[in-house]
Amino acid sequence: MTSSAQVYPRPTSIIAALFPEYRQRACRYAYWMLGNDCDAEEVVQEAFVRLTQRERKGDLLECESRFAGLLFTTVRNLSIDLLRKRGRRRQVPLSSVNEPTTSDIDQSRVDQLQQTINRLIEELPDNHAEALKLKTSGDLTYEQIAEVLDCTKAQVRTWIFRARQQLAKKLAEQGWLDPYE
Amino acid sequence: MNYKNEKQDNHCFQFEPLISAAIDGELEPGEVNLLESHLDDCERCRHQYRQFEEVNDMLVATERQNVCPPVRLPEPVLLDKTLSKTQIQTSFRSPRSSAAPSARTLLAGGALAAAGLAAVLLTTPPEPTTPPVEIGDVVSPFHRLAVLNDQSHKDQDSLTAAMRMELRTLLLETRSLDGDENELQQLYDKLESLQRRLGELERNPVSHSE
Repeated sequence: MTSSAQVYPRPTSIIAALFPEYRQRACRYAYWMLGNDCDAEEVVQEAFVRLTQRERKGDLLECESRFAGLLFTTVRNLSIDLLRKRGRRRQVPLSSVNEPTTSDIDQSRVDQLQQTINRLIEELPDNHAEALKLKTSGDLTYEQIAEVLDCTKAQVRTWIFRARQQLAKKLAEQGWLDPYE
Repeated sequence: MNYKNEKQDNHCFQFEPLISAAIDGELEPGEVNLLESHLDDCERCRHQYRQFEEVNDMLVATERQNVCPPVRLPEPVLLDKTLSKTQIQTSFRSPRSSAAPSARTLLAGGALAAAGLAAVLLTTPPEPTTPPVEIGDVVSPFHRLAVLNDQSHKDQDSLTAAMRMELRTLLLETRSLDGDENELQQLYDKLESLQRRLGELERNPVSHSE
């Protein structure tokens, strides 16, 4: 019998593999929830710690989809806890209420658009806004969003559609989009 | 609005959610054909499609504009810190929290906690209980660790200093306690040995060079 040692791939953690990519996405979502970059980073770190502990206890996150759902659920719950503890609602990120700089006209226009969009998102019903942000910040699928928000995939589809519809209507009213003649 | 337009609107109303889902790539196979054939015939829905696409582009663009938490350290390093935090959290359980009624309980609890803390410090890196997370999987250029290790060392220094004070207090308390002499002596010896080892550790810190 030949003794050719078979090399097995070293077991790698899904958390380790996905950490760089998902950290950014989760931070963007947490930042939107909390309106503060330090808090956002703290919450995301805590979420990763919790998932790592969970993995070490043997609860293996067998696929990326499950990992993403759990990560964003944890980030959301931690953010809500933090907001409750501090007795405040979600805040509009500070960057969105700063006056646009006048030095660069294009940048000023982008800033203006950013302010408008952030304000319009704040005006949306909470579940519509959250579903939309999980889609745009987290780049999650409808199924993953449904897991995070504890609802059905059909509801997510409707909420995101309503959010887009509302945004399109308001943006058209304010001259950012061409209205339908 | 005439009857024909109203009828058309009602018809389009059914397709609007599909347009939004199509932009996210979330249509069921059957729905794709349905929407495509409707869009071929309906200018209004084509406009809606373009509008939703534009909204999406704006959201993505402003998403990038929104201040994202700065990446203060390279990603692998953050994971490294995250994982070491896990290790400390699982091993370190408030040595001072045992404000028990009896001084004996306090002493025993404190000594155990101090011993646990010493174990964490003296046996770096601790053995992972399960193998899944390998830092090596994500930390490629180790020289980048030098930057953050400076902070890690500072943290470790503060931890060591706190532990030294803790041990000194416990030693003093042990001396003043009444009780089983042998047992107390054993405890005292143990604490003294820990203090010695801690002193050695402070003089020759564990090297983190990789």
